[in-house]
Amino acid sequence: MKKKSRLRRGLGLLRHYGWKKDLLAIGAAFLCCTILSWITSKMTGIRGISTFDLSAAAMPFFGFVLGIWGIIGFLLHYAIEAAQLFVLMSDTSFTFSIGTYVLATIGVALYCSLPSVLWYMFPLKGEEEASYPRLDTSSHVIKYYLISVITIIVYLAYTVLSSGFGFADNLQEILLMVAALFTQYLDTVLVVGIPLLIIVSVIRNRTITINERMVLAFLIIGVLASSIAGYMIYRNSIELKPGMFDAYESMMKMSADEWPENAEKLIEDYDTYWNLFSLMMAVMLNILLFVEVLFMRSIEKKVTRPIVHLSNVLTDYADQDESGFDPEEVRSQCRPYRYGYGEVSDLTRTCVDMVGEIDTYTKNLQSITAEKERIGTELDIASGIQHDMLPGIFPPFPDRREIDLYASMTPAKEVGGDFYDFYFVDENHLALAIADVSGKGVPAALFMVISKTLLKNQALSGGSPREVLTLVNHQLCLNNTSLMFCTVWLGVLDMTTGKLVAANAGHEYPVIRRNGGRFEMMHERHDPPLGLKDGLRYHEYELQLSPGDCLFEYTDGVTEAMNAEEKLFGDERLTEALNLTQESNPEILINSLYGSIRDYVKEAPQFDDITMLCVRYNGKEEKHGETKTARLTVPAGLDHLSEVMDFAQEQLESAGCGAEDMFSITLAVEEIFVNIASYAYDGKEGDAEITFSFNEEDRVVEMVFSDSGFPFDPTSRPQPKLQSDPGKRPVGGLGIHIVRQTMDKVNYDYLAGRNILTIRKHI
Amino acid sequence: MTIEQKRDGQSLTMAVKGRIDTLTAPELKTQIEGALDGVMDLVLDFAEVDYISSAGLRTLMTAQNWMDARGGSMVIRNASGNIVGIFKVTGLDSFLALE
Repeated sequence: MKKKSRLRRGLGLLRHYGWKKDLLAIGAAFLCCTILSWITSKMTGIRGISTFDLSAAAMPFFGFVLGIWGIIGFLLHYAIEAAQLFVLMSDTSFTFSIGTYVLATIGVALYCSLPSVLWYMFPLKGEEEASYPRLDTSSHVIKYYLISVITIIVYLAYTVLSSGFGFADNLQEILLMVAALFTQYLDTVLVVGIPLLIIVSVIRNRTITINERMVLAFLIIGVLASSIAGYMIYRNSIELKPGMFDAYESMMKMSADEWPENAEKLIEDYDTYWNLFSLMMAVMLNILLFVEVLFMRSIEKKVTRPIVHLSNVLTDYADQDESGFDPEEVRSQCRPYRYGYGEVSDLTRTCVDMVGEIDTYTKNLQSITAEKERIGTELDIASGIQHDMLPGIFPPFPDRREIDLYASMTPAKEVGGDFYDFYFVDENHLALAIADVSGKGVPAALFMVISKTLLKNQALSGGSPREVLTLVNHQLCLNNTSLMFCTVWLGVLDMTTGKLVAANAGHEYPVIRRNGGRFEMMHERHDPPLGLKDGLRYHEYELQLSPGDCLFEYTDGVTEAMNAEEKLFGDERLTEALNLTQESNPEILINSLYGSIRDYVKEAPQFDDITMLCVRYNGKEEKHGETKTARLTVPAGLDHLSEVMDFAQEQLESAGCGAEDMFSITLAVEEIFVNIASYAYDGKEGDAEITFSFNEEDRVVEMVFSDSGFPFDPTSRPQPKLQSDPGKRPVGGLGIHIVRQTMDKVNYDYLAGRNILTIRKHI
Repeated sequence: MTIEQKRDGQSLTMAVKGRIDTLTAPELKTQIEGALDGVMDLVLDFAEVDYISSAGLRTLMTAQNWMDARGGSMVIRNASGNIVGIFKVTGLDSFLALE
């Protein structure tokens, strides 16, 4: 099987590139041979003495390079040559039979295909299959040389045998002629064949090996040397037999009948000259080629092969994954070249040393990475703990209607030094704190924990902000050798009166919106940060908040947020961003401000924690008489409408509601619930929660509808155009219009992921 | 909700009883649509209707459009004060004929 496929490769039968390309190959081979023949014919007289042709070198070459298509191209050329010869000879006595032609053609075909077949049939030791014919190593040069010699011998033997010795008179003459032809063929195979092969190889591989360069160099030297020697022989011949070349050339221009008497002698001299020349050339080329091969074998043994080996070893080493790293393997594989003198041994030793160092380095890196991962995990946990220390459930005091409160902290690094805090000091006083610890990372986080705990403990024990800061400052200053410090804003809000008492230890100025005005920065008195100097006295100030007033506090992460041009967000942008909306809901305010900051910094990295705290004072909760409440939670679907209506009717009846109010409130309930059921969850499942409350004193019914569907504010819809033709009115909007018209108050909020719609009516 | 129909030549009287809400309004619409063949005068007796929601209002608007389209008339009779109040709030009183 293997032999068969090798034979097929050798014959080039596998090389089918598509008919167009095959035809092109035939054409190229044909053209090339014709050109070579033409050049030969221009070289005076060479053709006169033998069947020798420069294209003879092309024959094995085309077999090699183009396969069967090259051979066909050559045969085509040969056929045309033969036909010309036939026409030329037809009027002479020379007999040129078809049989001779067929025999010669077979010989030529043999000569064309044999080199390629031999090349592929006999791969070199160490080769699985013979590679594409190439002179890239000295072994390939030897192979090419041997194949050429064998081919020429076989071809000459065939030619001599098939001609039946008809062309010569005696054995001596035959041998002489065969020897002359042999040297001529060998010359062309080397001088023309080798450069052609190298050209093809360079085109195919886009590179030229050192061996190819050397072969070419030696070839050029050989040709030059033979040319000089040839010239000397020429001079010598002229000296010995003056006028010989001129006489021969003029004779060649005559027809055979007019040849002078000494024609035979002339031809003999001339042949002798050429044979001498080609013999000398063959000898020279052979010697040079021999030297080249010896030289290259030494280079290959000492340089090329070790480098290729080293390259393979290093490639294997580099391809291995971490677990497969084994410098010992590299060391043992490089052993043959490691001990010795010269550049290659130096290189090998350097590589082995380098592999060893890489190994040590990798091992170090692995342990460092493991350590880093451990620290990273611990920091993650620490960050989680720190995050959990900040109150994170909003609304934090759902039953305290006097305030709305929201806060957020976005850390820059794993753990940071910012914190906010809020807690009731007593039934009526809410403490609010925001702080920023100097520095970042673990030290800041530790100091933050201490500060936060101390502040809360002191505040809970009932001091005013001034007292709390003074005491905490004292405690932080004890043993604070690393001089960490912490800026704090601390305020205590009286829920009944709206009076805020606050103290500021070096923290950012609060931003406040009062009486429905704009957010403005309040430049109150600053004291130094906590932890810097023991024994400082802190000061406090008072501020009266009216219902609806908003207070916003933050850390420098907000004002010092930097964009890509390293410009700060700044105080002005902060107040501008807060004033963008009339909204007073703290959660919405903080989220919209955070959005403004993100829009400002864009892709720039966050350098500092961004912490914000916002509180809205709603005024004291009016509490007269008793409030009855009831709650119903149903899936938001129309099939639960009756349930909801029954619930509303029942509650209203128990509140003693009159028929007219009953009508309008139940109508509102239906419209709102139908809205939630139809649109809130967009076909998905979800709940609707309905809270009914009734205050007996002021006789106000309040119903709160809450769902976790898509945020949608029905009160923001434009009023339907009542005057226009109702037949052209859009179907939506009518229900909520009725609700707004019939209820005393309709209010929408989006809080903690829930739509909250509140209706109120006095009955 | 129940509906009593009385046909007298080209005029149809529908006496509606009960609540017209999101759940029952589609039925009213179906009944009107089904009985409308050849009717030029549609009378809706709301004497015993004690509740109507926006879904019901939309049904009335649709019915009015149908009658307009065929050149007929539609009248709503005996509507209670609450219901007339809703017609007023939504501006439908200028569009529906109330008796």
